[in-house]
Amino acid sequence: MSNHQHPHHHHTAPLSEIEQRVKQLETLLVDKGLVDPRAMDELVDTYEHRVGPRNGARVVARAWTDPEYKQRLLEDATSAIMEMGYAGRQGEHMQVVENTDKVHNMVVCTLCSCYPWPVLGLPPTWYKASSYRARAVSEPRAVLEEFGVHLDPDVEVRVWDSTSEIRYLVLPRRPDNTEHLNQDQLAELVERDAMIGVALVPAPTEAAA
Amino acid sequence: MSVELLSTQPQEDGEPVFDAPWQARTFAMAVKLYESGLFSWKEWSDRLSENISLFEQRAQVTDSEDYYSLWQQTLEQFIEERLDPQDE
Repeated sequence: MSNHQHPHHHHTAPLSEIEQRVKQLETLLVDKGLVDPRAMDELVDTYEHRVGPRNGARVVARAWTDPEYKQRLLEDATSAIMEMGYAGRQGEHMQVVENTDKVHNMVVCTLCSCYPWPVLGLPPTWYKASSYRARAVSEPRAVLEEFGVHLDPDVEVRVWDSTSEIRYLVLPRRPDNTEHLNQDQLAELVERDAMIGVALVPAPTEAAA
Repeated sequence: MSVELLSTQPQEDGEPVFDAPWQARTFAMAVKLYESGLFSWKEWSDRLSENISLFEQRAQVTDSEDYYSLWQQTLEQFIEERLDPQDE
């Protein structure tokens, strides 16, 4: 928090104004007994330090190694994810979409920022930005190229629009030459962007392990 | 390796979850008020979407500050509409 004292000149409202509004509101809510500052600290700590894309990576790695789990995950993602202990806010209605050699899936929330918190944490800034939210729908292939994903022209791209009612997670393709890896090692290969569908899971490098 | 993995759990690319402490506070207030039933999450995202869409008529959401300012605006609207000033 120490490196954010500098003013953000590009923004119309001075930072101090928004800081003041937030502080005022918190004071009001605390005075009315509507929020507990310690519970807020705990919540922030959870999303800053505890919940993130490693959870999703473990789900993916299990689906790659356990066909029955994968079946359950594709049929009822919410329960299959909960089964791994990842439950909670914004994970109530999940759907997992599987990448294959013919279909590549990518996820956006065109209207705001709906995102599966229990498996990915809070969304990165680019996911919430106007340009991604518009262009993921209007020109998904161009967006994928910018993320470094080069697909064969005959691969179909499907774009899924997450909402407050349903949130999507991409099950990426398992890279080749990973038969010798166990679930934990596989999970280490899976990064957040692959589960949003804007990256592929790379084959392990020689140095991995 | 596993220690590094733990410490990088939230955002693997090193991007902070929140850019500034006020963003974390407005985030937490909204989640807590949703949990206490002031609004449903559908109401929340509908209103946030509306505010984002109005904002995008004149600007672009490009960073975390833009985004959480809209979050704060949404929160203020719900408080004004749904919280009785005489309450307690």
